[in-house]
Parts: sequence; C-alpha cells; structure tokens
Amino acid sequence: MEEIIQEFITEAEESLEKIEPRFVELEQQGQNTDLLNEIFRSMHTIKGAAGFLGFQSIVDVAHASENIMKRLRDGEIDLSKPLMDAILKSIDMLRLLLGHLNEKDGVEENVAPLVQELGNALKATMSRTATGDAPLQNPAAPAAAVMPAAQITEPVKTEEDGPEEEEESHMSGAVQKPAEAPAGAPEISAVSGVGEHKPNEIIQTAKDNIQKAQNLRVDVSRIDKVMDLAGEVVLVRNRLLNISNYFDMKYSEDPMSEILTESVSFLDRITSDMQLAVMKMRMQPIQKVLSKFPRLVRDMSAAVNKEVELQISGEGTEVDKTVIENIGDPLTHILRNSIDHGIESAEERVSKGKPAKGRIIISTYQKGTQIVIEIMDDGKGIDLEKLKMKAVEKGLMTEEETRKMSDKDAIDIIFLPGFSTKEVATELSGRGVGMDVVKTNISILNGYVEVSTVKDAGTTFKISIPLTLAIIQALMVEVDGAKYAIPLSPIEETLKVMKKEINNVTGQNVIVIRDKVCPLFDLNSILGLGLNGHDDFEYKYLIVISMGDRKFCLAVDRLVGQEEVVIKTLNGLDSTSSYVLGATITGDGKVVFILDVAGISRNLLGLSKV
Amino acid sequence: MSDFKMKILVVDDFSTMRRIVKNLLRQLGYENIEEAEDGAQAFTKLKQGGFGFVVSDWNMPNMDGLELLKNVRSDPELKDIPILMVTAEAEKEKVITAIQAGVNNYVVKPFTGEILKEKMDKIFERLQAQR
Amino acid sequence: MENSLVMDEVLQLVTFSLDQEVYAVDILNVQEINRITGITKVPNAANYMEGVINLRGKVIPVINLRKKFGLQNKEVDDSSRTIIMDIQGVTYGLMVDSVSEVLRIPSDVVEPPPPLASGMAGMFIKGIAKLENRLIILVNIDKLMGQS
Repeated sequence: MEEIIQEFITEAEESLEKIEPRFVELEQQGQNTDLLNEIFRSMHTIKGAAGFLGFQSIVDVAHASENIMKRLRDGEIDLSKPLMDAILKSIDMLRLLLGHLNEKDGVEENVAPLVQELGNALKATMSRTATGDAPLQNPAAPAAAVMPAAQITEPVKTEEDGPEEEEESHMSGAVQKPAEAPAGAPEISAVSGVGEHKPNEIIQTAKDNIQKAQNLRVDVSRIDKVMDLAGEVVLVRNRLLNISNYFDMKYSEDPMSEILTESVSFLDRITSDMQLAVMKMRMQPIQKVLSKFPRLVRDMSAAVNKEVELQISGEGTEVDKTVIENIGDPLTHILRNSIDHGIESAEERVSKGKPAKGRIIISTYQKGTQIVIEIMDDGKGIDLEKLKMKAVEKGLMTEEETRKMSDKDAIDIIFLPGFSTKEVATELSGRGVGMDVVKTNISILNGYVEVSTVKDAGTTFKISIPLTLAIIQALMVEVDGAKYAIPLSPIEETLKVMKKEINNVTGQNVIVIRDKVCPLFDLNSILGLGLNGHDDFEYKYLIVISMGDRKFCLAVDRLVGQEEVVIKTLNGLDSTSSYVLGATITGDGKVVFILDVAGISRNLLGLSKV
Repeated sequence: MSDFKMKILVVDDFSTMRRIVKNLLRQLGYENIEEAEDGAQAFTKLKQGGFGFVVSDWNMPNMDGLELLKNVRSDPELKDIPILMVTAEAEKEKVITAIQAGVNNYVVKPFTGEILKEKMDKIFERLQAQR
Repeated sequence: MENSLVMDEVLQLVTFSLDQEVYAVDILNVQEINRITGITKVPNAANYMEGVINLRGKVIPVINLRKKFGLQNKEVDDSSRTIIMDIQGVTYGLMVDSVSEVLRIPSDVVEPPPPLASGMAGMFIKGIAKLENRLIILVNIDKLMGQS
C-alpha cells in the first residue's frame, strides 16, 4: 500500500508538472481542444486514483477543477483570466496536498474555500456565457448554467445505486450486440473495404507507441550505485592500462603480454561505452525544469504589471540529473531579473517603438560537450554607466577603477554579492540578492555565465555547462611534485615558454601570445603549496585557459598527459577556498585533486582590469 | 466458477491506477495480469493472444478506452473478449455510447474488490448463459 | 531493562596518544584504524588539514589532531595512525601519534572537563576519565569539526 501511495504521489506530481505549462500555452493560444483534452485527462486521472486511495481533499479539488476543464473542453465556456487563476490555484493546492502526503506530516488543508472558489469562478463564467452567447448555444447549455454549483456534485451521487438497474438492462442487450453490430449496414463497408488496412495501421502506431512507452521507473539511488560502480571500473581500467603498458615495454617479446595488451584495450573500449550508457541513464530532458517557467513568468510579470511572453525552445535537450537539480534557481533568478529590471512597462515600450508585450526566450542546445542555455530578453538592456556609478557609490570600487573597466567587466558588476541597481527593492528581485547566487550555482556545475547587453535591445545570459558531471576529460599536470587534474574543456592550448619570455607589468606576470597579452599565474602559488617560490626554472609549461571571454595562463612544472577521470565528491573539505571541484583516484591509487578553473578565474581575475 | 489462471489485461495511462486495479484483481485471486498504458498498446498486446478479460480506463492518450473497445469488437480474432470499462463518474451518454459499442459492463471509480468481483461475475454469468 | 542499564554504565573507548597525553573516542564512531600512507595535500586548507587519502575508492580528509589541538607537530613515523571515524555523517581520518588499546570503563569514572581546560584542546574535551594510575581525556568529536 505504502508503495502505491508513493507511486501515486510521484505520478501525480509529474502529471501536474506536465500540465501546468499547458495552461499558460492555452492562455496564449486560446481554445485548443487537444491541450484541453490533455489537461482534463490528467486531472481526471489524478482524481480517479486519489479516490481509490481515499485522499478525499485531492478528490475534491481535482473534481472541482476538472469540472471547469470539462466545460472548457466541450466548448461550453471560454477561458478567462479569473478561471485560469482559479485553476492554477487548484494545481498549487494539489501540490501542497501531495506534499503533505509525501512528508506524512498529517497536516490537513482546508480545501473547502478553494472548491467554493472554483465553483464560483465557473458559475460566474457560465452566467456570462449564458447571457452573452445564449442564443447561439445549444439550448441545453444555458439551462445547465442556472445551477452549476449543484451540478458539480450531482452526477457522483446518482450513479451508484439509482441507474444501475436501468443500465443493466442495456447491458444484457449489449452482450450480443458486438458480434452483430459490425453486420449492420454502415459498418460493413468500413470493415471489408478501406477498413481492411485499418487494423494494420493501428498495430503500426501501436508498435511505435510501445517503443516510446517502454519505460522503467528506477530508484535514483540504484542508478547512482551503478554510476559509482562504473566509476570504480574506470579506475581499475586505468590501473590495468598502466600495468599492461609496463608489461608491454618490459616483456614485449612475450606473446602473453600482447594478449594482455589486447584484452586491456578491449576492456578500455567497453568501459568507455559502459560509462556513456550509464551517463545516459542519468540524463533527463531539461524540460523538467523549464516546464515551471511559463507559470512563473506569468505570475511574476503580473506582479509588476508588465506583459511578458515566454518562448522556450530546445526543451528536449538532455542534461545530467545534477544539472536538473541545480539549474532551476539560477534560471529563476535570471528570469526575475529580466522581468523586473530588463523588460520595460508597456507604455515605455510603446514609446520606444517596441511591441507592448515584452519577450523572453529561453533556448537550450548542445554545443560540443557543453550544454548551452540562453535567456534572452528584449528589454532595455543593462545601463553600464549606471552600474559603474552604483558600484562606486556602494564603495565596491573606485571611480578610477570603473573608468578603466571594459564593458564586459562592467556587466559582471551585477554578479557582485549584494549588488542591486533598483533603488526600491521590489517583491521580485528583492535587494539584489540572487545574481551572485547565479554565478555560484553555475560554477558548482562546473559551468560559467556570460552576459551581453545592448541598450534598448535587451540582455542575454548565456550559461554553459559541461554535458556530464561525473566523468571528465582532464589534463594531468605536475606542480612541485604533486599531480593535479585540470578539466580539459576550458583549456585552449598548452605552451612551453622560457623564463625570459615572461614579463612583469606592474606586479602582474604576463606573457605575449600571438601579439596578445595574457596574464600568467603560477599554479604553485595559487594553491598556496610549498614555500619554495623557485625562480630557478629555465622554462615552464603554460596552460592557456579561456573562460567565457576571459583568457589567462597557469604555469606548471610538467604536463603529465590527458586522462579520463572520475570525479569523486569531497566531503568535509572547504572546496571553494581550495580551488578544487572534486578529486579523482589515479591508476596508482593516489588521490589527485581536480582544479576548479572557474573558481580560480573568478578569484584571480574577478573584476580586475586585464 | 472463475478461472483464476485467466490472462487479464489492465489498461490505464496512470501507473498508480494500473497497480490499484492489479492489486484488486490479485485479491480476487487472479494472478495472470498484464498491463498496457493506452489503447494502442493494449490492442497490440491483445493481438498477441491469450487474453480472457480486459479492464480498461476510458480517458487515455493515443487511443482511448472507447476506441479500444471499438477496435476490439471489429477485430475478428478479438471481438469476443469481455471488456469492463472503468469510468470516473456515470456519464449517461458515455455509458450508452460504450454499451452501443459493445462494452460488457462498466464500473465507477473508486470501486472496491467486491464491486469489481460482482461486475466480473455478472459478465461471466451472462456469457455463460449465452453459450 | 537490566541489560540496557549495564550498557549505559560501561563506555567502550579507543585510546590514542598525542604528545604526552592519552585521549579516547567512543568506539561506536570508529570505523577502522589505518597506517598513514599516500596522503595528498589540500590546496589552501587550514593548517590542521593534513590532506586526503583514498579509502577504498572514497576520498577522505585527514585531520592532524596535534595541529588541531595546537600541539607541537611531529613527523609521521611507524607508530602514527589514522583513526577513520564518522563525525556527523562525514567520514574523517584523525591522525594521531599512536593507537593504544580498546578500553571498557565504567561511566562513573568520567568527570566533566576542568572549567579552564588549557590550550586549544580545551574546547574539544568532553570529560576526563580517572583510572587508577592515569587520566584519559575523552574527545568531543562532534565539536571537532564544527565551525572551523
């Protein structure tokens, strides 16, 4: 029983998640029977299952809500804002009720006022319909409208005892009917003629559907277990590769050593395939996160009296489960910011010659091994001069500093903790809390944000996140005898430079690469390891890193090579100050830290003028 | 009189509902139960043969219960399989449509094991009487 | 009922030494005791963070208890050990001079820590067990990895 309830909660929550954006779609597209049908069906199903499980509050809310949907679907009434608001409230309530079930907190919500409200909303709409379009309608409809509230509950009561017998009499006839029915005149042509193909067609589509529907619900912890094990296999594989290389060199004549090499390289391939397969198990369409945004944008823009249309594309793009879990907040903050600060009021927009309705586009796509999420608004853009002024006012930097700042750096001011450009804190964006969170959350995902803005044309936030977070390609380097792994994705190139090629400009080491000056940092000193800041080197290896639009070099003693590493999470360590995003275990069993290049870039370059 | 070995197909798009119905059927003693997520899937399964009874939901994507019913009744191999339709509330017109399309009986959500048994018994009694 | 009373009255401890003193932690928190091998230093970490080790595929931070308690540092030698333990859900290794024994003591020999326990170690003391010829300091491991 417990299991069924759990399944019900999950399934019902998923259904709600699926239908919520449909409402906003409906609001935009107007009457769309397919959409209405889908929504109605979901609500209907939730009600049905809840009835079995005895969750009366859920039944009540779903029933009242379904009642409205049914009439919408059947075209008896038109969608209106009050109606939509009431329905959305019912979805919120259902979520709340499911939440209580899930928590087993025993909290009872009083759903009566909402049920009443839903009834009233329907009543109001129906009476409007009745007075307005009555003559055009089926005469039965206005009649029904007179007592809608009563009708809501009526059918439930009547069916159980009353009509049963009556129906039975129909039933008895019905049993023979199917066999004979096709023999009736109109049907027969359908069966023998064109109908010949029909069953085949059905089977065809049915097969397609099966392929789509072959899903298995698996506990996440089981997948994670497989993921962990796959990680272990990768480690063993790496070790075996080392060993087989050793044997290959030492006993190259021995045929067994060749067999070993062959077997290990086979294992190598299989392991890579398995990794990919396991990784895919964790991938989910980003829609899971995006689906809540139409509603969110609707509510947020209404709260500040703006009209905003949200367009979403690429919602089928699959991302790792961890991304799904962590990307919601940053995206919400960005949307809030765009609605609150970006999109102008309708009057202002019209006076600028823009459409009164603002527009935000979220598009997601895969680019190489990165997932890119772009949030583009057509608002007023970020006023860089105002930003700089504000930053000076708040004592975050000097006027001098802001004057030297490039536009790119100036935009990044918005990501400073506690920064806000709106004099009055609004309900939505609060007091500038949020944008710094965006940056932090995204760097947790090993990704980065870029912002571009054009005055009066709008602002675009571009978030790039690696496809998977569990296994990455890394460059192994050595500093002061210790090995580190640097994620390969932000590395642009590696160079070997002589000491004399390194220049020092006002205390900052730089190197000129193809006529461009690039700041250079010694990894040893960044990591605060060993005190031997040795100047006695002849040459260094440089790793040129490009994060978004920034470029810098890290100097290391030695490049060890490229390796596929499994990221192990670190517990009990402050990974922010350590500039590590995780650790991996190498073929020889040693722990090697994976450096958080985004964190290093943020701290070293920050808002400095490079 | 009930044949507990009979293969029964439970059709519903909501997996919780399938589970509930399955549990009820199990309580009644039926063990050979299969599931389908919608009418289309159900129809394919039925075509594979061996089913003695169908419990189907009405509202489903792709192919709803009524369509399934119609398809089954117009299929020479399947036309005699008894079908019990599950509806949320007694909507007369719908029930009548279903009867005309050849449903054997219908049951209203939520129902108990006893109600389900009653309905199934009625269906089989009637089928028996016909033979 | 009687059993649980008896259980309550006996403490099972793992004792270890640091500098001149003998310390102890509850055996229930101890997962295993290992020799110290293959420590990787943590960049920019607190001074008492000795590094991390690979414990059968898991990466575990190792705390140098001497440093944590503000005692003089000592090179790792043959008797040095890491006590792997669970502190508030996170697995840590505690690096100590040596691990002595597993001890069962009646709980009534434990006295509260002296009001002005000296040094850094003071705040990590849960109590002091007075045995016939020696004192054992009971470490409050929950405080060990709190806000630091």
